[in-house]
Amino acid sequence: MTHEEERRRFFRIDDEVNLYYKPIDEKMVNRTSHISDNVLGNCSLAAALEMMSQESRFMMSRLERNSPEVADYLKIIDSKIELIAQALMLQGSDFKEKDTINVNLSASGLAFDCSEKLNVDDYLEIKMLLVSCMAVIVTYAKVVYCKPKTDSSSGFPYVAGVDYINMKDQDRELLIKHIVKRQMQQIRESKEVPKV
Amino acid sequence: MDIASLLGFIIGIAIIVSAILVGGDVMMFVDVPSILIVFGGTFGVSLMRIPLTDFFRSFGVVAKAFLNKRDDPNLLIEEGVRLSDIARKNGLLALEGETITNEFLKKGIGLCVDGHDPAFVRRMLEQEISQMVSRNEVGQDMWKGVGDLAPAMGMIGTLVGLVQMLANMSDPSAIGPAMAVALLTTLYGAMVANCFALPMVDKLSKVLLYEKTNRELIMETISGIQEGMNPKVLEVLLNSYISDKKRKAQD
Repeated sequence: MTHEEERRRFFRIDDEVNLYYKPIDEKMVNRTSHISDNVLGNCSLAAALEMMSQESRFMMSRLERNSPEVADYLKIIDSKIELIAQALMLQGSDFKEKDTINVNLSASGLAFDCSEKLNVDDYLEIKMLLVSCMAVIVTYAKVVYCKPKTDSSSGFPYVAGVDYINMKDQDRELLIKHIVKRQMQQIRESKEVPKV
Repeated sequence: MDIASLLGFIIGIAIIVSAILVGGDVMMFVDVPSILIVFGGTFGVSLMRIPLTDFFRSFGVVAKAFLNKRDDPNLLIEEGVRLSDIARKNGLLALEGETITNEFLKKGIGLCVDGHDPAFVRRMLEQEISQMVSRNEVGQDMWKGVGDLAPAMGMIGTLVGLVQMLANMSDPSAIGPAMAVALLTTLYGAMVANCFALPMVDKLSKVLLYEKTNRELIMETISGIQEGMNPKVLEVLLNSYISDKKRKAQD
């Protein structure tokens, strides 16, 4: 697989995320991921919950067939837990309202507007809050390109493209799920007839 | 084509006809008034049990017992996993161009591509499954009724024949043939019920169970695709719908 093919492995969508990044040393990246080691750490909570939901899906599908009422009740409890987790994730995080930016998002990489010039092959630690599902993903990334924008009126003179490195499987799964759901939402929005 | 249904029906009738042939004249077993009482009476009384539209629709259900073409769940799982992989890698819109043979799966994928909410899609598919089940149950109910009524009509025909026979006791030589004719209605009733109606009800309920399971499997596939579920996880989940023996060997 060529580098270009690797970068295009997954579907890309335009989205709005709350993005926080900082340059890091290459040695940090090569270390086995320190990120999300603590499954109860705020940043991996969404992914850990998602993983548990996936495990419970098998039981849930059996339960839906045998006791649909119990399954419905458990789904409500599940939604409550999701809401509490989202509220927890927002507390004490690095995210601020103003950090929300437009990105081109995929499960293998990210393109985003940035205010400073980044060097190709630089390493970044990226934290992103997926606004539509309030999930936080933390990963390392390598800068693939950084070029000046033709229209810098937004206050971001550059656009950078990065590839994720050492992304945890559960985080990638979370990202893919977010992208699929976001695409569904976008299709629905594009079909809505504007009111006159 | 369900060979078992056709073969079972032909073998059943053939054995009875062979037994008749070995014993003597076939025409001895043909009596038009008895046929009218059993067939006409059974279908006539069936009309009292169910509405006219359901009565006619139930004849269409018969075709299902003979012509049903069952989708292999393993192939459905394979196709579902393939579609889920495409949706994750190329987006939901990429599913639009895919060739899908199963109509129910095609419909579900169409709803995905249209961007409908997963809960709405699930509700739509669930409703379709329940409609399919109730349509088939109406047909099964009609034929179960035929299975119950045919022997009863046969018995009525026999009683009618016996009354007619007893009214003409003056000629002892006519008692034997008249008795034989009277008993023919019981034979016809038992044949209609046991060689056709009741086995067909059993076959239809099996066909319905397979079809329902396949559709539930497809519904789960659609939900998995809309969730962006990992294809491997989806495969494991879908395999829970089929028995261990029928599952394809897992890596």
